[in-house]
Amino acid sequence: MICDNCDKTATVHLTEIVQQYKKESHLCKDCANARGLRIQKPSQEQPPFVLKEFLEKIKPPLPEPRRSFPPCPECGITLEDFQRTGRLGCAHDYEHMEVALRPLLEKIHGATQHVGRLPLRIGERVDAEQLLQALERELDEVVAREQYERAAELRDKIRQLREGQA
Amino acid sequence: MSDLGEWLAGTGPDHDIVMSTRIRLARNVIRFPFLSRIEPEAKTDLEQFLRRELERADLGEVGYQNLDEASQLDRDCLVERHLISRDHANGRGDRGVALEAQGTLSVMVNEEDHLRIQVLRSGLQTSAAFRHILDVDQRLEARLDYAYSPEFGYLTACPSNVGTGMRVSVMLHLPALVITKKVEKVFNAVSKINLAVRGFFGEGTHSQGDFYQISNQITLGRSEEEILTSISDYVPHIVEFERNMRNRLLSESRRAIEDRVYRALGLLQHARLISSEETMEYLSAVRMGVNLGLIDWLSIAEVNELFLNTQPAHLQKHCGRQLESAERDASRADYLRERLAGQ
Repeated sequence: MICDNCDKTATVHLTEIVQQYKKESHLCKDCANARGLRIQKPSQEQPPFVLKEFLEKIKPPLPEPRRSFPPCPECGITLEDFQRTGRLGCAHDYEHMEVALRPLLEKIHGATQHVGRLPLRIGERVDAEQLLQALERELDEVVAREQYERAAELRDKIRQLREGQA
Repeated sequence: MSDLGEWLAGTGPDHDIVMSTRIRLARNVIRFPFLSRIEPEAKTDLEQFLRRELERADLGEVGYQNLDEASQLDRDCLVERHLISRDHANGRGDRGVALEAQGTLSVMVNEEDHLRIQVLRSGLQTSAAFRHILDVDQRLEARLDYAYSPEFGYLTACPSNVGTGMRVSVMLHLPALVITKKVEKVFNAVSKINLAVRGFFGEGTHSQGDFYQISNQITLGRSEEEILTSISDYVPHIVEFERNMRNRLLSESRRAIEDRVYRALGLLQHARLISSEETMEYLSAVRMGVNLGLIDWLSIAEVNELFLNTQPAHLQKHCGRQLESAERDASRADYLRERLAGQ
């Protein structure tokens, strides 16, 4: 585009509103200077100093969440082993690496709490309170589904556990 | 024919489209590490322990085979019958499988988990298959201490199976959806409700002969019944869709469908060399032809039998010797010609 005043290339494009009319001018750098137009380069101006932002920048980084675990005392597997193979080494790993496994379970299943059946022979090996909760969850479910035979089994087991606790 | 196993008999509900229903449970016992961290001696002990318990658990007419002692050909036959996984067949060390004579129940020992209990049924039979597998699981549970936590459920070697440890898979034969290019649409819908689509031999395999397996992906946070319902509610929609497409093909392009079916039949009846992939493809068209009433002298059970007996290991069993790939293509063609002759 050519300058409105001379025949040099126009590099300044000005849009003015004069008495409600839009007026466009295209000028070369020299003619623009001659009209007293000061061209401001964007981004050269420093943003104002904000203390909060400044402090944000110089703050030491948060410590990395703990990603490494000692090897599992029962099977010797490390988190890195698991990440490489996708296979755990023993049942205890679910407890040992729980912190790392939870987000993974959430991602795969969208959940981290089992619902559904449970074996009735596990009373001695797990926390009685947790077991009671799991049994009661399953009981609610089977009653809702009118599976009374299973419900009776579960009630017996719950009673047995409660008596054991008392 | 009687040796085929119930799931190949082609008798279950919707068997024109649903080839089979499979449920498997992944279970581990306490006091032994998972298979990836087990020493060979402990693996042997575990196999013997589980074998003994399986034999005592009163699971019906069940035989046990140590796979390390079985021939490669026998192992491959079990894979072709979907009774063990390819990984289990090709694994190392002491491992085995308990098999029930009808071919509906198999329990793999020392696969990825200590126990992989599997029930296979013909057609769409999720409830019947579940009742069967629950009975087996409870009989085993009465003898074994399963690895379990109230929080994470049944503990498995791979976190993708934890919780119920249950995978329900339905094998679908969808030739009309493939022909009409609707199959992608179905799979996109399926993946949105957290079901997975796999090929003929399960995980990591591609589709052959228009067979697809649909299974649940989620095993944690849903009860067994919820998982079963997610499959048994959704599969009938796919069955209906396939059936509608078959009918539409018949009414709108009968000549083209007949051509496809009879060309496939002609190739199978007259080829002198034929690969197993080609056989699957043509048998798929023939299977559809039988279901549409275009071929009335073959039954679905016979077609299923042809599918099985033309797989490499079964073919070699049939011929009574090991065959190179090129020899197999010739023997397969001979076998098909003989079975489909005179019509």
